Parts: sequence; structure tokens; C-alpha cells
Amino acid sequence: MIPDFNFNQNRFLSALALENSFSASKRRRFGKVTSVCLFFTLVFIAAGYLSAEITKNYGINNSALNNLIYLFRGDAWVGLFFILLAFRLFIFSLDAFFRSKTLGKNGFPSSKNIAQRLNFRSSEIWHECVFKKDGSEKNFLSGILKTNIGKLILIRTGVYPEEFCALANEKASDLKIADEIIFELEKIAKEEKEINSADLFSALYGCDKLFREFLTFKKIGSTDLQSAALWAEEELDEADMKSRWWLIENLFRVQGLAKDWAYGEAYFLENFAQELRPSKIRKEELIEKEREIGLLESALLKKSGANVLIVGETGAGKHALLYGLINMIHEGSVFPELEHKRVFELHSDSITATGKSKAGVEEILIKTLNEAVRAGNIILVIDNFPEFVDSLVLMGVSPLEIFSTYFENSNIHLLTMAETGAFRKSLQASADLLKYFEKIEIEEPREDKLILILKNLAPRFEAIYGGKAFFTSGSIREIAEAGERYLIGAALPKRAVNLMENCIKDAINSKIPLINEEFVSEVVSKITKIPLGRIDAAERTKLLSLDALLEKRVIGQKEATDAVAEAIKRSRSGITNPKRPIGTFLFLGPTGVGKTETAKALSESYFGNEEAMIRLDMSEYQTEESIERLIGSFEKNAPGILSSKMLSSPYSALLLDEFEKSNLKIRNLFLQILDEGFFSDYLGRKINMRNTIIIATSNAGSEMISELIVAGVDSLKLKGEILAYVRKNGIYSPELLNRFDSIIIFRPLGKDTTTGIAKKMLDGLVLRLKKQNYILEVGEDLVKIVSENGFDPTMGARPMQRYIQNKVEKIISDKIIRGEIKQEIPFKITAEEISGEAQNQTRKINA
Amino acid sequence: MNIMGFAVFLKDYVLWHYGEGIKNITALGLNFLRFENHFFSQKLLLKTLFSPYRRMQERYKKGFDVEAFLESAIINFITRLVGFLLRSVILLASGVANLFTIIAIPIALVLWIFLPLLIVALLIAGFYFL
Repeated sequence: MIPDFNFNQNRFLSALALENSFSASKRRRFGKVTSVCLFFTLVFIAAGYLSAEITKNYGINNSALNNLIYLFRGDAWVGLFFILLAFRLFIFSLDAFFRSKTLGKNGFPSSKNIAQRLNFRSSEIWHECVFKKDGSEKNFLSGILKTNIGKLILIRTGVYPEEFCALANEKASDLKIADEIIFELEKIAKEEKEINSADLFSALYGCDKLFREFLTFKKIGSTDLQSAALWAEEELDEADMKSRWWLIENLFRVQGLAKDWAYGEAYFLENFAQELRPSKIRKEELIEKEREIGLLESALLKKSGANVLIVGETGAGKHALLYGLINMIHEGSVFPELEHKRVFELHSDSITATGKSKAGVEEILIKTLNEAVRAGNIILVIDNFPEFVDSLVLMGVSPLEIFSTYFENSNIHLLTMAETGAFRKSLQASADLLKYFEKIEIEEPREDKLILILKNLAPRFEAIYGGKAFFTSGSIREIAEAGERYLIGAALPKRAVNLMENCIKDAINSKIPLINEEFVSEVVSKITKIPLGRIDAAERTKLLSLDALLEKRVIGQKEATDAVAEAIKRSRSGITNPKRPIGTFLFLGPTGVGKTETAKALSESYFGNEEAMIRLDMSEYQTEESIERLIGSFEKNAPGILSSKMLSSPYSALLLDEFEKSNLKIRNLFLQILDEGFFSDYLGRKINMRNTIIIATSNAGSEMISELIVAGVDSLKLKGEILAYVRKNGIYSPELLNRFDSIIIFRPLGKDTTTGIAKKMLDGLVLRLKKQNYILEVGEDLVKIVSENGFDPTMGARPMQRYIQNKVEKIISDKIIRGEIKQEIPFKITAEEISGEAQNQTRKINA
Repeated sequence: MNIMGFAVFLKDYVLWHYGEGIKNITALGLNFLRFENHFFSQKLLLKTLFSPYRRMQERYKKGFDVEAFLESAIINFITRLVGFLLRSVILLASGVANLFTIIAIPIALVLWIFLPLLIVALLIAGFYFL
């Protein structure tokens, strides 16, 4: 059945036809020119008339004047004026027609005729791509670039117009495409909804193979295309509404006269406070803050004691909320009670600085507050309120005494702001002060809201940076995700907004006009040093050979290194849960078998730096109170070691040695960290641990491991038995064990592996000596004696390093001092020398 | 635009001009009226017409002192008077603006109704004068 599609009945058809033959931009240009011409003709007519009058009345006969009269004489100018006026009025009426027809931009959602369901933007595209070309060639793609909406959609998708033009040229005219799209649209039209350009583009994506392949090659999917289209539509519609200055909502943005005549002046207050005026910049951050705005408004509406305390992380939008209120007051869209308020921000520093002493500060404060009360329409903003209270207390001023009389006064509102940490630290406990305030806590926006905020901000940033770079829809999603997942410091949306600005600056510097996901990943990688984004050839080789690399470094623990490499690959491919740490491991095994070495190797291969490892000896945290040393203590007002380390280096590996020895309370803390990737410190700040690799090591059950390996148990069964043992003896609770990504059993070292380790350690020594130009040749016998004597079944390979130090290095250093070893000349240390040295030492001890 | 298209457009335009168009012009005029009320703060000024200007007030002293009382009373009367006069000026201006708009709306409507004719007449007159 042929779908019902008749574009002749489209509600925007006549407006689009007009646009097609006499476009808005042409109308604007012609209109301007005509207006200017009209003005000058009018001037000429007046000049001609005046000069004629002058000669007639005063009898002056001047040739210049006569020429002027001749030039402007008569009716020709009047005729021209009439014609120009007719033309201007004609343009005006066409403009009015177009504006009126396109005020509402929606299609009819329940119309049977699908063409009537198209909204303004999709109608624009259809008109340009299909309807206009009725009967002639139908290259759908070439039309897209001719519409503003089409161009913007392509940019927001991440397609350069030139590329697209090439694609359209490559494609021969396709007579069937329009019909196919209509069939696709009919499927969408099953539901009762209008058809927007996102639907149109997704239909095109479904029908046009060339177009689809083109996008797939650029890694752009159908959903990306749709979200870009929706975004572009919103952007154009909003700009259009703003340009209609005669709409009531735009007219009301002009502030009225004489609003504050009924209220007093506040001259003294102005010395210590600044009036805050509406700002356009903050508007976008207010999106989805209706809850907070509503709370703020209703809190200020109370008859008396209408004081507010806004609490939120830095960057969560405390000031945005404040400016939202100011803008609303300015536009008159608040409740009438708040309509005439003026907002002043108190410079608390200058009060304490000017006042100097207790008496001075008190005098200034009381004077300013009194004046504000007398004025009667003042909302006094105090930023960083906890700090201000603290500084008052330090000077001996009691904030409660000073403010309490004003708290209940209906002629003044105090609007205070506090950062979450500072609030918990110094305000939360003072209930007598807090009872006067309505507390509003600002929540961080969720990811979908964050994307909305960023999408609204993007055009503004693009304009600020001169339109030299544009964000694609995918890049916005990536920025929101990275802002939430990888970045720390400041709250959302600030974090993401900062990243956005970094991206556009970088893009302009590297002359990239379209910012896509990959570019954002690169910027984030640069900031965090976490490998993100596309995996390039060098990194691919490194990742694929990671297991071999780790195996070479940690000898004799193939199973363990393979498991770790696997986890890294998983994380790098981006399939891990973003709400948890990058990787969490429990290493079980005897001492000196390579657990720490694996952790170091892991840290190096992921963060590119062995130093990016924080090591905590958990046996130092055995008491219940020791948790305070980790997360900080509220009473002692001291930060904790874990929180400060995590704040200073959030992108790192955390090694928890002998984890099982820590207190139960600490292990419970880690339950949360392993699960959710964050913890709250003593100030209640959320500390992000989602960018860390957590490795807990433990030698619990190591005897059992040795026994089972001697008995020849296979590795799967070995792991099962060990875990059962650990669980049964209450060393680790099952819920804790379940939270690790991977539990890895390290085997005790066998004879064969110790030789390898000895070789590796001696190689390290060779390298160190080489730096001093001494060339040590390591022979088989040396390796053998080191591996035999340096290995201790209970301590693993740990004594080996000491053995090399005490024996081999000692002999070499003695020889260097005695001058028996020369630079650049190879030398050997034999097993005999070492055993001789050993005998010497025993002799010395005996003596 | 071909001839058919032009005919369709013309029909649409004429229907709009004498239907939606007239409504739009009226709505626009009302918008301006509302804007004037907002801009000149009419409601607020009427409500506070006799309030003292910027809350400037002298406090009455305690005790019985006719001279002091009269002094305060006179000052307070003056501040109220100043407030009243200033507000009246603004209100007057807003009244003039309103009046102008109210007169302008019907004129604009009449002009709008005859606009197509007017354009044609202007063209004819223009060529006649040239």
C-alpha cells in the first residue's frame, strides 16, 4: 500500500516556498537598503522644499541654491519615495507572513498524511531535497547542505560539509530514495508523533546505503545522528525565538523603571558590599535546577526569618543558582514579594580588614545590617559563610549575637553559601546558628542532565572562541562521561565545563575545526595520564604483548601475570564498569614470590610510571581508631593519609600490604571502595577512587599453598581450596572476597624459577655497574650460587637482593677500591670468591 | 516558484493576511501595552504613590516638643510629596505611552487591512510622479 504522503498539504509549505524564492536573509538585506534609501529621499525632498521656500520668501537669487532647487525640484523624488515605501511595505508584509507561519514549529502529530506530521525543520529539508526538485533529478544528499538545519546537523554529527559535498557529488541522482524514505517514515508514523529532522535523518540512514557506509566509516551510528539532529533543531529554534524581540517574554527582559523608589538607599552598605547584576553567562548552568530554584524562592518568601544557606561542592552551581534568582528578579518572573529585591554580596574580608578589632568589626557589621534593614529590599549574600563565621570567632565576635536580631527581621534576607567540606567542619555542629537558616543542598546533575547543560553551553563557547571549532554531539557525550568518570576536583557540572573549554582551546591550537569523541579522549588522557581514546599501533603492540612483558618482569608467576594483563586489557577496551575502580585485585601467596613486583609492573604498564603507586602497610592499621589515620579525624581536624594521597594523586595504583591484618572497620570501608569507587572522608567529602587500581596482598594461607603444590594439586582446585580455607578461618569475609575483580594465587618459587630471578637481579647489578663504566660478566656459577644461597623457602626470593648486596656487591666494591677492577675492562666474580668471602666473614665472626 | 506555486502562495497569503494576520497585529499591540505596564512599574507606583521617596523619614522624638514634632512632620510630608510628584511624572509618562498605543492599534489595523491596496496605490502614485 502506498503511504499517505502529500507535501502540498504541509503546514509550512507556503512559508518555505517564500523562503525558496525570496529568502529571509535577502529580505533582511533588501529591507535595510530600502530603509536607508527612504531616509535619504525624505531628506532630499525636505531640502528641496526648504530651499524653494527660502528663495521665495527672502528673494535670494543664488546660483548654487538654484541648482539645488533644480536638483530636488518637483515630484520625481516624491515618486521615488512612494515606490521605495511600497517596496519596504511589501518586504514587511512578507516577513510578517513568514514569522507568523513559523512561530509554531511543530507538525500535526495525529495527521494521517505523513507530510503534515513533518515539523518545520524536517519540512525545510524535505522541501529543499525533494519537493523543490519535483520531476527533476533527485539527489537527496545535495539538498541537505543547502539548508541551515542540514548543515548544522552534519557539523554536530562530526561530518565536514566539504566531505559531505564530495559524497553527494559522487552519488548519482537516486529517483527511488524519496519513496523509500516515505516508507521508512511511515513506520515511525505508527505512533502518534510529529516527524522531526532526527526521524528524517534516521530514515535516510536506513535507506541510503552510501550515506550509511560513509557514516559507519566515520564511526557515527544512527543514535549519534539522531541526537545531533535533535540538538541542532533545538539550537536553531532557540535562536529564532530570541530574535523575535516583540514576544512578551523577550520584552519583559527589559527592567522596569522606578522599581526601588519605595525602598531606601544603602550608601554605607555599598562600601562593604557589591550589588550583583544579572548575568547572561550563568544561565545555562541553571538547566534542571528547577528544584533548587523553587526551594530558594519559597525559602525567601517566608514572612520572617527568610534566610538561606546554600551548601554544595565547589563548582556544583551555588553561584549559578544565585544568578538564576537575580535574573528572575530582573525579568520579573519571581513572586511579587521578591520583585523589587536588590542582591548585595558582602565582602567579608574587607569588613574584618577594615574593622581590625572586635569593636570595629562589630560596629561595621551592625551599621551595614541596620542600613540594609532600613532599605527594606536587600538580600545580603555572604559567600564562604563558614570561613566568615570562623574569622569572626577568631576576632572574638559572636556571630550568633550579631546576627540573631536580623535573622527574624522580615526587612532583610541573608543568603549564605558554604562549600560542603567547610560546612561540615565548622557549621554543622552549631545548631543554634543553623536553626535560622533554610538549608538547600545542591545536587550534582545526573549524566543526561549534564549533557543537556553542556549542549546549551556549546554554542556559547563556540561563539566566544570565534566559531573556529565546533562540538559534535558525540564529543558532548564523551565530555559528560569523562567529567563524571575520570576527572576530579570541583563538582559537576563545573568539571565538565572546564574540560569543554580545554577541548575547544586545544582544538583551535591544533587547527581542528570539529571536536569529536576521540579528540576529547586525547585531551582527557593528557590531563590524567590515563590511556584513553583510540588505541594506536604502538599501544596495540604493547597491550597485546603485555602478558609477555609482565611475565618477563615477574618470574615464575605466569598465571598471576596473565590474569593481571587480562584485567588491564579489559579496562583499556572500555568495557569495565565506570562506577568502580579501574581494577581491584587480591594477591594471595607466600612472602617474596613477586606480589609487590607485580603491583609495580602493573602500575608502570598502566600509568606509565612505577612511582604512580601508593603503598600502605595495613598491619599498621590494626586498631579501630586507626581508621582515623586513613580517612582523617573530625575531632582532631586532621586529614587522613588515604584521603590526602588520593586527592594529590588520584590516578595511581594503591597497594595494600598484608590487607588481612587491618581492622574490620577498615576492611568494611574498603568494601564500599571496591564496590562504588569512592569513600567519604572526615569532612564528608566524596573522595573519588574510580581512577585507581587497588591491589591487596596477603600471605594468609601461604603454608597451605605450599603443601597443596607439593601434593601436585592443579591450579583451579588450588584456588578453590585456598579460598575455602581463607573463608573458613574468617580471614576474609565472603562479601569482601566477592568484591575483588580477580583473586590471584602466587605460587611458592621452585628451583628453576630462582635461577631466573637470580639472573634478573644480577642483570640489574650489571646495568648499574655499566653506568659507572665497569663491565661485569655474569657466569653460570655466579647465578647458581646466588640462586642457591639467596633463596629461603619461607622468605621466597626476598633475601636474594640482600645476598647480592652483602656478597657480590661487597667484593666488587673492595676490588674497585683496591684498584683491581678497571673501567671499560670486563671482569668476572667467581663462585669461589664468594664462598671465600663467606668463609672470611665466618672467620671474623668466630674471632 | 512556478505559476501554480505562486497561485497557492497567494491564496495562502491572502487568507493569512485577513485572518491570522489581523489577530497577530492585535496581539502585538496588547503585548506592547503589557510591556509598558511592566516598564513603567504602574502597579507598584500606584500602590506606593504616597510613600516617602526612598524611605527617607525623620523619626518623631519622644516627649512633648511641638517644635520638634512639627519639624519631623514637615520633613516627612516633604519626602512623601517628593515621592508623589516623581511617581506622578512616571505614571503620567506611562499614561501617555498607553494612550499612544491604544490609539495606534486601530490605526495599525486599518492600515493592515488596506496594506495590499496601499502598496499598489503607492506604486501607481510613484510612477505617476516620476
